[in-house]
Amino acid sequence: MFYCEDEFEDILQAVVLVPYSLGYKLRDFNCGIDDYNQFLINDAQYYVEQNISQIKLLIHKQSADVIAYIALSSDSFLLDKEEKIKENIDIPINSIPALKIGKLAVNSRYKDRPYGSFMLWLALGILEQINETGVGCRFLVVDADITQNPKTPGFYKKNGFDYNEKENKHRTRAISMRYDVFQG
Amino acid sequence: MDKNMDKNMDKNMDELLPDERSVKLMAAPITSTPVLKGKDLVNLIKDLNKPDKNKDRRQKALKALQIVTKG
Repeated sequence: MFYCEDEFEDILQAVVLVPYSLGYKLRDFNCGIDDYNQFLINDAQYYVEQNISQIKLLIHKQSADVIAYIALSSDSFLLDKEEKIKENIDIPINSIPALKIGKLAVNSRYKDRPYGSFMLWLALGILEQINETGVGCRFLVVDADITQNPKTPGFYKKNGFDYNEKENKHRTRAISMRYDVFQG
Repeated sequence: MDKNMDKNMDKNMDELLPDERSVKLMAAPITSTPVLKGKDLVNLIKDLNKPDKNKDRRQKALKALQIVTKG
């Protein structure tokens, strides 16, 4: 269950999801974190052109404001051969496919509704679309950025994500998390 | 690549000194997913073997995506 999922049907009526384009009001977007604002203006075009990420913009139908953006890429959990032997894991799989949420940001003017959670819901829809297209994908993954806001992992946690590294914690800038699309 | 730019690639814009900002061309890169070890890996495999209980929710999300998508 996503956070405030009961509000999603209302949000659906007021927004459109579009591919990244310089034609939208990108310079008016302000999520309160300069790095994420700059990404949209300076870097996103490069990511899209190089097929590193596909970036979707959530646009308010009436105002044409950019409410939120999400950058998605294909990803996988690599299963280390030695680690599999060490942990006695006997499966004929060396990697598990995932859809990576590389960046997710919401315009500060639109914090009144759960647009971030709504974007995660749409990411789940994209993952399902990938599977129906004929490409396997099991998890949504994210490295929740804690450099700007230590509460970021909490946002993903309340949307059904779990921590990837409960035992081996060696990251200081981001917390790796996953959403199992079979469990929700 | 410029040495300063290379050095600052992993930093967010807010962490840079004013004169460093001019040489930083890109925002902080997307972090790579870690290779899981030990119990973390075991937990992932346990999750992998769980049955699908969420198909309806995925279908609902897909329908929402189709409604809201333009272009």
